[in-house]
Amino acid sequence: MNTLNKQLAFVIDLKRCIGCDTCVVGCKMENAVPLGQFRLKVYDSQQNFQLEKPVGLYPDLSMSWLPTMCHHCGDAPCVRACPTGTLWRREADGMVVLDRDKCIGCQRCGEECPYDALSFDPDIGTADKCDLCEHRHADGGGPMCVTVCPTGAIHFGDINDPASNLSRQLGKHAHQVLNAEDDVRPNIHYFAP
Amino acid sequence: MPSIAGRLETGGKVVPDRIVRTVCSPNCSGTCPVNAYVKDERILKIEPAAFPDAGYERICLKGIAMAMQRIHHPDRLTHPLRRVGARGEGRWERMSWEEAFALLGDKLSQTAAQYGSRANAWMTMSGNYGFKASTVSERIANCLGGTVLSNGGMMGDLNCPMGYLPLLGAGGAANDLSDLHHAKYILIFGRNPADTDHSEMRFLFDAMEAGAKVVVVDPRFSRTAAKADEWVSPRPGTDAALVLGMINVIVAENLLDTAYVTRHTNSPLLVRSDNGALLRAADVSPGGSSDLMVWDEAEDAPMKLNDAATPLLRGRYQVALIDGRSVWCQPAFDLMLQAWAEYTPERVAEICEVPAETIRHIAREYATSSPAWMWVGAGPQRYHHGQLAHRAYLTLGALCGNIGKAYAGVNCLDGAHMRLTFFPPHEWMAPGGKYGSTLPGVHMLDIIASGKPYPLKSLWLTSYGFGTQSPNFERFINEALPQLDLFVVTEQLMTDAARYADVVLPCVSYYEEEMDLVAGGESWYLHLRQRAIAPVGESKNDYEIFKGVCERMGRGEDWQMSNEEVCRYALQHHGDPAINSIDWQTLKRDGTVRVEIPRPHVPFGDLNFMTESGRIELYTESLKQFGQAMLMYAEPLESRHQALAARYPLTLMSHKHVHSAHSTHTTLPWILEMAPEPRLEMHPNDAAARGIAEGDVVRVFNGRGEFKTRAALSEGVKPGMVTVPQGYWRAHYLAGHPAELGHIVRNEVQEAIIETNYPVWDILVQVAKEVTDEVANAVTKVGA
Repeated sequence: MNTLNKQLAFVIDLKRCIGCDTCVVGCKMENAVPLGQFRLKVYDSQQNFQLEKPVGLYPDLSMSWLPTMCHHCGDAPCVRACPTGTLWRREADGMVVLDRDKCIGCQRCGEECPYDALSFDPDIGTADKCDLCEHRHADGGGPMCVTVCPTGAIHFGDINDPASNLSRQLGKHAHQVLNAEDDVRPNIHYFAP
Repeated sequence: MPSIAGRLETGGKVVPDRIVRTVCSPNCSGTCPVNAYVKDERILKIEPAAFPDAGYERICLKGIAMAMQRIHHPDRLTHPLRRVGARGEGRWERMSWEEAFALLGDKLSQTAAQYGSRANAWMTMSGNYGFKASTVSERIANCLGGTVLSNGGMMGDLNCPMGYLPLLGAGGAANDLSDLHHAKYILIFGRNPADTDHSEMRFLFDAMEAGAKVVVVDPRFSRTAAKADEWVSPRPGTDAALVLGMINVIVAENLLDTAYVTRHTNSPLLVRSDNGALLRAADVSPGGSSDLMVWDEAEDAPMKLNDAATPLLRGRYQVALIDGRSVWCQPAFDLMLQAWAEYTPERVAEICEVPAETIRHIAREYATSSPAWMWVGAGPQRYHHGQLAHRAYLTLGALCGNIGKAYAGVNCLDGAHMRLTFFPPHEWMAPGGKYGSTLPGVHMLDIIASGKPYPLKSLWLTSYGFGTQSPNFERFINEALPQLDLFVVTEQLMTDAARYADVVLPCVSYYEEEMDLVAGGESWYLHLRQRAIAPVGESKNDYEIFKGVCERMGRGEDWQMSNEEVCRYALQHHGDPAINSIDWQTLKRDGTVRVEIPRPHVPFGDLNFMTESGRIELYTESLKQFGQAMLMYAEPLESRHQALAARYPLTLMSHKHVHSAHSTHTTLPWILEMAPEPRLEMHPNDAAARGIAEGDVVRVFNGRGEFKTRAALSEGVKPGMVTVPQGYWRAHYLAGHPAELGHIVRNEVQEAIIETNYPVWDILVQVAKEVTDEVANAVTKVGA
C-alpha cells in the first residue's frame, strides 16, 4: 500500500530534448506570461538561453539542453525565505504554491531559489512561477509543457504512486536532480542527455 | 477584454466561446492538426488535436507564436493599400476592395491590350501551404492567358527531382516516417529534422531507443547532429564525392548486392566504346528492335536485356554490328567502376575534409546494416550541382539493394502534400482547358529586366517572402522593377518585398481562411483547414481576391465556386487516386484522413521503375551529352578549392533553425526573445585570423553584395565556412542582407531535366571586422 502523500513531479528525458523551446512558448501561451518573463527556460550546455553553442573542439562536439522551471522542492528555500506566506508547500500534492494576492514583491524567493525559477512581474509587482498548470488538472490535463513537447521528453505525475506513468518512466533509466548538493528535495528528475 | 495592467486576457484560464479543429500550416511542411481555443474572434491558445496516429499529435513554438502573435501583429495588413509616393517610400493610401478590384482589373486589361495577355505574370511560393493557396495564382494566370513564373527552381527544391527523375522516373520517394523505428541504420544527408521538422524527431528517438544507429552528414553541427550517434562534417557541396568514396569502399570490400544490381539496375547494359551509346538489338541484327542489350555469360553472346538469364556486369566484349564492323562494348557497371575508381577514401578525404577511416566505416555500416534507411534533406539541394548529390545517394542505395526495400530506401521529398499539389485537376488549374504561358521563375529578374523572351509588365506575388528568401532583391529593385507597370503583393505583413509594391493586398492567415485542403510534406495525412476566427480587418484569401479581379474584367464565370466547393472538387477530380479516394464527408467529420497508401509504404516495392529499361538507370544515356551519363563529382560553383577563394575564402551558408520556417516567424516577439538576431556563426580559428571576437560587428561581402551583423564564434561551424540563421528580414541586419550575396547561374544539365535550381549555398565570401563609428571615433581621438 502506498503510504506516502501524493507528490507531483516531472521527469525530463534530456536524450529526447532538442532545445526547441516549444515548452517555453507553450507555457507562455497557456499562462499568459508577459514578454521578457519566463516560468520555464531551456539552457544549452554552456548555460546560454539564447545563441546556443556546442561544447568541445571541432569536430569532437556535444550539445544538450536543460529545461528547468520550479522544482517544487520538498524543502523549498523560497518557502523558507518568503516573509508573507505567499509561497507554501501544499501537503495534498506536494506543489509549491504561490498566492500572488499576498505577494509584496520583495523578491527574496528569487534570491534563494537554487534553480532561478522565480520571475518577477514588474507590471503588477509580484513574483511569478510554474504552478504545474493547476487549472488544467480538473479536466485530467497536465502541464502545458508536457502537452506541447514535440518529442515527448517531459513527463508529469505522482512520483509516490508506483503505478503512475511518471514512476514507470523513472524506472527506465538512471536519473538525477539538479544541484543535489543543496539538498532541497527537488521534484524534477532528469535522464542524462 | 483587458485585465490587470491592461493586458489582453488570453491563455488557458479564459473560457473560450468555441474550440475549432484546423491545421497549423506554414511551410515547415509539418501540418499539425490543432484545436484553436477562440473567444471574441481572438485565439486564446492552441493545443494539439487528436490524430489517428498519436505520434503526430504535436505543435511547436513556431505554430504557437504564429497563432498568438502573427495574426494580430501590430503590423498586420488589414486593408488594400495603394502606393502614393515613390516605390519603396512607404507612403500608402487605403482603398476599398471595390477600388482595388477596379484598379487591378483595369490595369491588367490595359497591359494585356498593350503588350498581350502574357505580359501579366504571377508567382507564388509556400506561405499559406495548402491546396488553393499553392495553386490559385497559376489558375488566374491560365484564366487570363497570363504567365506563370514557375517556383520550383527558385525554391531551390528541384535538385532532388532532378537527381531522381533520370534514374527512377519519379521525382522523389519516401517511406512512412512513423515506420522509422523499424530501421537499424539511419543515414541522414543534409537533413536537420530537430530544427526544421522537430515534431518528427519523436520518430527518430523511437528508432534510436529501438536500437538504430543514426549518422548525420552536415557541415554544421546541427541540433540533429547533436542527437545522433555520429556526425560527419564534409566541406559544403561535396556530398557526391563523399558517396563516391563510400561506393569505392563497398566495391573494394565486395559489399555490393550484386544480384540486385544485375536484376534491378541497368548496370549490365552494354555501352558502345565508339559512341558511348547503349547497344541495342537493331545495332546487331537486321530489322532488330530498340531493345537494350547485355552480354550473357551462358550464351557468351550479346542478348536482349529481358531475354538474358546470366547477364554480366564486368568485362569487355567485341560485338559484331550489322554494317560488318565490330565494336568493343562494356557493361555500364564496368565503365562506372572505372570512372569512379579515382575516388578512393584517401582522395575523397582531401576533397571532403572528412577522415578516410570515417568514409570506410560509414560505408561498411550502411552496406551491412538492414534495413538501412537513408534520409535526404533539402541541404544538398542548395548547390549548383546538387542533382549529382541526389544521384549519388540513389546510386549508393541501389548498389546496396536498398531501393524498393521496406524500411530502407533513399527517402526524399515525398508525402501527401506533393501528391495533393503536384497533380491538381486540370479543370481547376485551367478552366476550359486554356493554359497561359510558363517561364522559369528562377530567372525572373533577368526576364523582366531584359524583356526576353518577351516583356513582362505586371507581376503579382502571393505567399512569397521574396525580399528575403530569393537572391538579389536590390538588383530586382534597380533593374527589374522599373520595367514593371504594376507590382502587386498579397501579404499578411508589410514584408521587404511588399514595401516596394504598387498595390498591397491583405491576405488571410490559415486561421482565418474559410476552407482549404492541407497535406503533410513528409506524412501521409490530409487535413481540412477550417476557419477558426473571422478574417482580420478586410483580409481575403487569394481565391476571393482573384475572383474580384476577374469579375471586374468580365471573366468571373470561372470563379463562382465557394471555398468548400473548391475543396470538394479538388478531391473528387484529383489526378492521384490516393487523393481522390478520400471521402469528403469523412474528412469533414474527422478533420484528418490518411491518404490511401499501403502500410508499410515501400516506394518502388514492386521493383518496376518508370524508366525505359524498367530498371534503375544508373547509366543515364540521356545525360551523356552533358558528360553525366555516369555519376560524377563536380566542385561547387564557388568553392574554396578554386582561385576565387584567394579573394573570398569562406563558404556562406544560411542554416534553417528551430525558431522560424523561412521568414514567417522571425518578426514575432516570442521568437525574438529566444533568437533575437541573425548572428554570423564562424569557427573561432577563422574569427581569430580576422581579429574578430564574439559579438563584434562584421561585414560579410563578395563581388555581388554585402551585409553586416554580429559574429557568434562556434566550434559547431566547420572551419572555412560561415553561416547565418535563415529567414531574418532586412531590418534584422545592421546593413544589407545575405540574399544580396547570392546568384543564379544557368545549369544546362538541370535545364535538360527541369530547370535551373537556385544554388543558395554555393557562395564564397570574405568576412572582415567592421570598425564601428564608436570605435572609429575613439581611434580618431587617440590619434588626435
